[in-house]
Parts: sequence; structure tokens; C-alpha cells
Amino acid sequence: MEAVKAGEYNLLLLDIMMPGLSGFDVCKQVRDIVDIPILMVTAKMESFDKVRGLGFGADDYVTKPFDPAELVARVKSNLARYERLKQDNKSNTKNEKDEELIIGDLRILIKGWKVYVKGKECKFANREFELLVFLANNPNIVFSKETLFERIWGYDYVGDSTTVAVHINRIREKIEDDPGNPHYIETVWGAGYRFNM
Amino acid sequence: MSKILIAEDDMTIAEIEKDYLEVNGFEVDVVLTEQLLWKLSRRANTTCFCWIS
Repeated sequence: MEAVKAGEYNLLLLDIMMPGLSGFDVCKQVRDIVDIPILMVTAKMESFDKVRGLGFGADDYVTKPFDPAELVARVKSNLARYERLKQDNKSNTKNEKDEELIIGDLRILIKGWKVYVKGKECKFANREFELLVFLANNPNIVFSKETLFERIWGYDYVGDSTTVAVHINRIREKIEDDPGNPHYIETVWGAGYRFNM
Repeated sequence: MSKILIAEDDMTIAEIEKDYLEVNGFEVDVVLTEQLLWKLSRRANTTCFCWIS
């Protein structure tokens, strides 16, 4: 872990089947410390578990028994995506001022990949952050779960739009005073989500 | 070259993952998931210490 902290690794492959330990908790703890892609390997087949894994900060998952070619492909695509984001961040911080979104008690540094709630920095998993930025950049518009899934995860991603709801909940826990009665990201029943501004 | 850390308790599976990733040009280290946690908790303590000081 010292090595993970020091930035020696580019990706973490994490098996969540551990006796007596919850992989989800491990994932969450690792996510709070490092920002490298976390790929979960899970023997559990229930989609609920997959979604839970993603909600806890994993970037992607592979279920056992896995096709090794798929594993390698997912590792590559997650690394490529991460490198692309890192490059974007680097060139942006060098050349221009960070774009900032301020909505109520929320302050989002888009290129710095940072979110402050009432002045306090909150850690966001990559996709949570992308989802929040997308919604905050398009306020007062209702987006369906399917649309958000396609925008943030992409068409080729294996998963379903339930993932969106899990991520929305995670974002609400971080930014809302009362996540059960959200002020920023409102659920529009039967239609989707709207970011209120 | 990208370096990958595998946290896994089943060493058979870890070896398979390691082999395939290495064949594809990645550098791979394997740790037991429990080791990862232990070091994590140690780091958490250190972080707290830093905050206090």
C-alpha cells in the first residue's frame, strides 16, 4: 500500500471475496487514498453486488470465472481512460485557469477534479465526479437514467442504468444536507434526474 | 510501462491474472488482500497523526 500511495502503480485489481472482510469497504478505503483505476474481480454474480462495487468507488468490474482476454481488455481500457483524463488535467492546469462551478454551497473545480462542499473538500470517484459535473453543467434539465448512463459510461460499457441511481445516491450523500430530501439533484419520478440551480 | 497491483486471496487466480497481464506487457505485483488492508489501516493512523501535528 505504501507503493500504491507513492504512485508506483497505475491500476489496482481487487478481489472482493475475502473471508471476514468486505471488499466493498476495502475498495472505499483505497478510493479515498488513491485515484488510480480500481478494477474489482468478483465471484458474485448478482447485479446488485456489481452496482454496489461501482458505488463504492470501483471503476469497473469483472466477474469470475472471467475470460482472461476480457480482463486484459478492461485493464487496458481503464488505463487508457485514466491516462487521457490525467493528460487533460495536466495540459489544462498549465495553460489555463481552472473552470469553476459554484452552486450554493458547492464549488467544483472541473479541471482540478475537486469538489468542495461548504468549503470542505470531498473525495469523488471518477464516475461520480463526471456525473456531478455533467448534471451541474446542464442545470434544470431532466435527464433519464439511460441518457446519463450513455453519457458517462458509454454505449460499450457492460452494465445497466441502475448504476446511475447508485452513483446519484453516493453523490447526494456527499453534497446534500439531507440526502433523503435532496436539494441539488432532484428525482423526477418516471423521468429521471434534474440538477436544480 | 504500466504497473498493476493485484490484491487477491486466491493465489491460483492471482497467478492466472498475473500471467495474462504480463504476457500483455504489464508489470504486475501481487499482495494478499489482507495485507493491503493492514497497510491501509497503518496509513490511516499516520494520516491522523499528521493532521494533529
